Amino acid sequence: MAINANNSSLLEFYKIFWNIVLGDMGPVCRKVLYGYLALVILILIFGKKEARKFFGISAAILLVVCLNPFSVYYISKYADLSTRYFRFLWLPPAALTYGYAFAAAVNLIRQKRVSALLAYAVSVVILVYSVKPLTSVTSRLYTGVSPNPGMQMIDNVYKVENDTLQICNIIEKDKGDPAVTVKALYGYEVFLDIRTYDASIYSGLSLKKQNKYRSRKLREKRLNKMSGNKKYKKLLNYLINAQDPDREIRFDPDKIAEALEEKAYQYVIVQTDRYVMPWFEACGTIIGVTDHYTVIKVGKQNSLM
Amino acid sequence: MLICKAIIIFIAYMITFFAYGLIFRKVTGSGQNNSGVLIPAGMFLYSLLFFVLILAPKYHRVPLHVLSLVWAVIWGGSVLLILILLRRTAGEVLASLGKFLKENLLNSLLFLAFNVLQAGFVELFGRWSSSNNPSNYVAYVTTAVFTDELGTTHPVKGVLLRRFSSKMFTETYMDHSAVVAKIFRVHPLIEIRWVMPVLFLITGNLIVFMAAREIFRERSKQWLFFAGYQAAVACTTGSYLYSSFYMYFRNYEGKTVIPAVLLPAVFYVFWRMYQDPWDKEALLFGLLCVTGSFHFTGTTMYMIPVACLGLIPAMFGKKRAGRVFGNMVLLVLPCFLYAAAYLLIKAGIINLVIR
Repeated sequence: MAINANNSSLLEFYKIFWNIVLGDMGPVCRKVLYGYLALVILILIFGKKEARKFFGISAAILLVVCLNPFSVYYISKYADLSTRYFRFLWLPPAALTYGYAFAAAVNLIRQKRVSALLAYAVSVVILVYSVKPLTSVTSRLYTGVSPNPGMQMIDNVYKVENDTLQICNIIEKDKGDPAVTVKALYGYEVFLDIRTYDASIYSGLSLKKQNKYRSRKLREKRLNKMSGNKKYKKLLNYLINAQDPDREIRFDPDKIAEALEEKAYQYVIVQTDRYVMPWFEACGTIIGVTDHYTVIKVGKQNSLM
Repeated sequence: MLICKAIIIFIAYMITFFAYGLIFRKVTGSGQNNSGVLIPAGMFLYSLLFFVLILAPKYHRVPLHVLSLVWAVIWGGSVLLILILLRRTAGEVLASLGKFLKENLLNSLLFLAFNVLQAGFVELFGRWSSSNNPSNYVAYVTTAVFTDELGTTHPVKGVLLRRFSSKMFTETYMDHSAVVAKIFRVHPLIEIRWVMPVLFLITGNLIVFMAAREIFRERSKQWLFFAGYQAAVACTTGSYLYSSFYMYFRNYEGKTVIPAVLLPAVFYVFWRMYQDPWDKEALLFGLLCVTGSFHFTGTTMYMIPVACLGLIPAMFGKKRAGRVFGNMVLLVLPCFLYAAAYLLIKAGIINLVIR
C-alpha cells in the first residue's frame, strides 16, 4: 500500500491520505491514535517540564509532521518517501508517550506500596488487553491458498507453505542436481515464497506483472488476442494468474505449449482445482501433486511418478 | 537439528554483540551501570564493521564462499581477541549485571518472561506478511547463497542483472545473512526468520527498558513504562501503515531495526543528553546506532533527521542547549553523507555496473 504524491494533486492526495490512514486502522488502532492525541494535550497541560518537552511538544511536532497530509504530500513528492515516512515515525513517540503516561499516572499516588502494586497490576491489565489486537492480526498473514482463520502456526521449520516445500522437492527430485537452474511458470500465490526457499527455480516474471492479472478473469477473446499477437509471456502470465471464468471458455492447449516452448519453460506449477489445469496438463507430464498444486513437466517425457 | 543451529547462531550473535559492546564500554570509559546498552551498541558496531568491509568485495564479485571464509576468520578472531584483551572489562560488566539482576529481581524476571513470550509468538505464528517483500528481500539472500555471489541476480525474476540494485547495494544486512548461512551451512531462512527477528526484539526491548530506568527511579514505574510501550505497540499491529507491524510480522527485513531499535535509541540518547549535555557515552551510542543502522536499511537517512527535528524543541530553554544541538548535528551528519552517496549512485555518478 503506497500513497503516491507524484500522480495526484494536493487535494486528491489529501483525500487518499485520510482514506488510507483511517481506513487501514482497526477500531483499537484508532483508539490508540485518539488516546495519544488526548495524552499529548494532558501532558502539555499537567506534565512536568521534561515531560512537556519530550512527550508533549516533541511528540506533537512529529505527530503534526507525520499525520499531516500537506507535509507528507511534499515530502513524498520530492523525497520519494511514500508511506514509509509516517509509518516509522508515528509509532515510537506514541508508544513511549503511552509508557510514560501510565507510569506518571500511577506516580500520582503518594503511598509507595499502593502505587507499586497498582503499577504491576495495571501493567498486567494493559498487556493482557493488547493480546487480542495483536493475535487478531494473524488472520491477515499469508497462508498460501488455504483460508486463514487466524493464529495459524507455521507449517514447517523454514516458515514457508508446505506446498512450497513439496513443489521444490518434486522439482529437485526430477532435475536430479540441486545446483541446476530451472525455469518454471508459477502464479502469484506461490511467487511470494518459492524463491525464498529455493533459488534454483525461477520464473522470469516480475511481481508487478504477476499482480496485474490477479484481479482479472480469464476471457477467451483476450487469450486469442494475446496468442494471435504472439505475446507469449503475457499469455502465460495471464493464464497462470487470472481468475477462473464465470462461464465455459475454449482455448487450444497447443498454443500454450507453443508459448511454453518459446519462453523455454521447463515446469508449470498450477493450482490443481484451477480452470486452466487441463490445458496445462495437455502440455506436459504431471510429475507430482502437492496439497493444492500440480507440478507439470513441460513436453511429453517419461514420468518419474 | 535446524532449530539447534538457529540457537547456536543466536548464541554466537549474543556473544559477538557482548564482545563488541565491551569495546564501546572501554572507549566511553563509563562507570555507570548501563550494561543494557552494551548489546545494542555491540550489534551496531559489529554491523558497521561488516558494512565497511563488505562493499568493496561485493562490488568486485568476490565469491560468497571466499567471503564467508574470510568473514568467519575476522568474526571469530575479533571476538576472541576482544574477550581476551578486555577480560577485565567483561568481568566488571558481568559483575555489575549480576548485581543489577539481584537488585531488580522482579523486573528482570518479568522482562525475561515478556521476551520469551514475545519471541515465542513471533517464532511460532510469524508467517509472511501478505506483501511482495519476502520475494525481494529474503529471496535476495537465498539467491546469493545459490549463485555464490552477492546481488548479481534479480531476487524475484532470477535473471542476471547488468548493474547492482541501487537500493539494495548498500543494505548489507542481507549480504550478512548470506555470509552467515554459508558459514554455518544452514538454509538462509533459518537465520533470517528464526534468529534475527528475536534479536531485533531483544535489543529494542533493552533500549526501552534502559529509557524507563532513566525516566523513573521506582522499579514498578520502570516496568509499567515498558509495559505501556509494549501494549501500545501490540495494539497498533492491526495497521499495515504502522511500524509495529514490522516489529511482529515483517521482521525479516532490515528496516525492522528502525522502529524496534533505532528510534527508541534516539529518544533514549536525547533524554540522556538533555540531562547531561556532556554525556559522552550517550553521544557515542547515538552515533554508533545511526551509522551502524545503515547496514540494515538506507531508510535511516530520512528517519533520523526528521526524528531529530521533532526533538529540537525539547532542547529550548535548556542550559548548554548549543552543546546538545551540536550533538544533534553530529548524529544527523552520517545521514547526510549516506544520502549524498545514495544520490550519486542514483544519478549514475557512482557506477554500479556489474563487471
